[in-house]
Amino acid sequence: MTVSADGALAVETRGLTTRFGTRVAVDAVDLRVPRATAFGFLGPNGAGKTTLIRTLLGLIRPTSGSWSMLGRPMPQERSIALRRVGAIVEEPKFHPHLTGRENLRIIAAARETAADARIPGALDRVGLTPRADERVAKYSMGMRQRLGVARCLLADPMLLILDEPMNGLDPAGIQEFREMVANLVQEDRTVFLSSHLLDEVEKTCEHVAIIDRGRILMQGQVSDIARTGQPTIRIRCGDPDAAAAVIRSVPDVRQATREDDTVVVVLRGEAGSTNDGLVAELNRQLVGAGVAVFAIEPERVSLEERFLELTSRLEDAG
Amino acid sequence: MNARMVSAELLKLRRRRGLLWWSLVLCVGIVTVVYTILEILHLHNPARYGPPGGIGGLQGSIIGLSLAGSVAAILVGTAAGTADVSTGVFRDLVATGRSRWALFFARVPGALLFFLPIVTLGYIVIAACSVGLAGSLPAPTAGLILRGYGWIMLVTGFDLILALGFASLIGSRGTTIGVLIGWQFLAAPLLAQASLLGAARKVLYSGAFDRLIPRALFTDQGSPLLIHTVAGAVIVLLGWIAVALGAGAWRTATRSA
Repeated sequence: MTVSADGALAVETRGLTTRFGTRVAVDAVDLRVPRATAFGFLGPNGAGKTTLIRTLLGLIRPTSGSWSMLGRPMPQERSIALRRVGAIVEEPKFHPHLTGRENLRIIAAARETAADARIPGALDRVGLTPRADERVAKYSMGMRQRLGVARCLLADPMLLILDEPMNGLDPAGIQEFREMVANLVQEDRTVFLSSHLLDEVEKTCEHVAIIDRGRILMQGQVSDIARTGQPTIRIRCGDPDAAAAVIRSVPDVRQATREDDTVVVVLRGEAGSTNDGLVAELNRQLVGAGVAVFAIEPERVSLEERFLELTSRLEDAG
Repeated sequence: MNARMVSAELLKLRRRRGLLWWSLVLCVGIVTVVYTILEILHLHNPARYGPPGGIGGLQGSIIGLSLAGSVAAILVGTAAGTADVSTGVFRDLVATGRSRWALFFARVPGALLFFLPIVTLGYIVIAACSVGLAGSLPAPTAGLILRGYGWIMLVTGFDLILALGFASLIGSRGTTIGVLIGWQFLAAPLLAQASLLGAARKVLYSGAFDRLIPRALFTDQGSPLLIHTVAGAVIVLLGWIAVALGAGAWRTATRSA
């Protein structure tokens, strides 16, 4: 069974499963990573993120399922696909007695000849040129992360797979990293960013998949996933108690609760729907009842809240 | 495997200062110190201490270099065989898409290119001293020196490949060093003396090296241990190399990255 080469996807898996003995680390994963996007791969520790990455790269054999990278069926065309893939799996490792530049030479030697010429540019891009000729043993964790990214860039990658790349970076480094990811995406490269830092993924990525206990719980655009909880609006008004009573009488309202000068209203509409008609009706009813309405706005559900909702639901089910 | 990968392997070893210095001490330092001491003794008391050079000097120092060189070969071979795995870089190398077989086999010429020049340097010292410090003794001919050089290269190169292969199989440098030194200097000599084993002792490579040692240098050498033909000795050595490299390559290809 193989996955058809779909040029629009950087990574595609179908039913990908990896077991270690009786433990299922990756459970029938169907993942679709669009090209030229920053794709966040979220999951709590031990969710199966790194195992899936190792499987994608062909570092371990899956038990079943199929996958493709950059349109190439794996593992049949592994060596061709990986020529344009740069990856950091877990923390980046180096020969500590060699300099940063020499470590890049080691990896460049295993790649095409042109990789040698990319070393200065890669070091420059991650801001390591001034320290490139120091031994890696003297590097901080943040510098090693940068060197790991530079090592990925030697492939002139169309797909970068970065496993927890922000570990060890200071706030300025994180900001630079975000900018670098944005620039890479602008160059039509795909950045697959595995992390447990939800806030960072929300700020850096357009697409996201959430994994827990080896299963993909949800995938799609970050804005869609953040919105796919129960549709909720917040109404700030002059008399919240009276407003809540009026709102509860409207048939399509699931719940209305007061929070200070605001009524939080959970609607019965479809997940992610705008509910414009219902919101207008609520406004009419409130004005008709003599309640002064100051503002009506959809409640923003952060990716973090959505993530916790999804993973805790799985925990309850387990 | 390509020249760039071999060069990368060489770089990894060349930059290990401790390994470089220990290799130099074992292969060059010891023979230099021994010749210096013997020459001082000879100059101080020529009646009691003869010249350190000559054919006899060459003979003794070749054996000495083969022993110290074997230890150095084990140090270098195990470093070459385990460096990528122990640092965790192996995973990144595999993730480039390069064949694991190519990654393994690049280690062999890389390690030889690092180590054999050091042994050569040690042998140059030996050759120079055996000729220059021959005094009244007959100096070895160029042909004899070259044959001795070939044998030293064979012994140390073989030990290096053996160490590299088994280190790649085991994955732990310390363990491999312990096992190989124990085998080389303790277990193998004991087994060679165990007549109970009979012709099975033919598989011991020490016997093969005894058979291939230049006869002109070691005229007093008894019959080599149970190895009667040069072809037999070559087959034994090739067999060991095939086993070591096969095991190392297999483990590199199957190791979880």
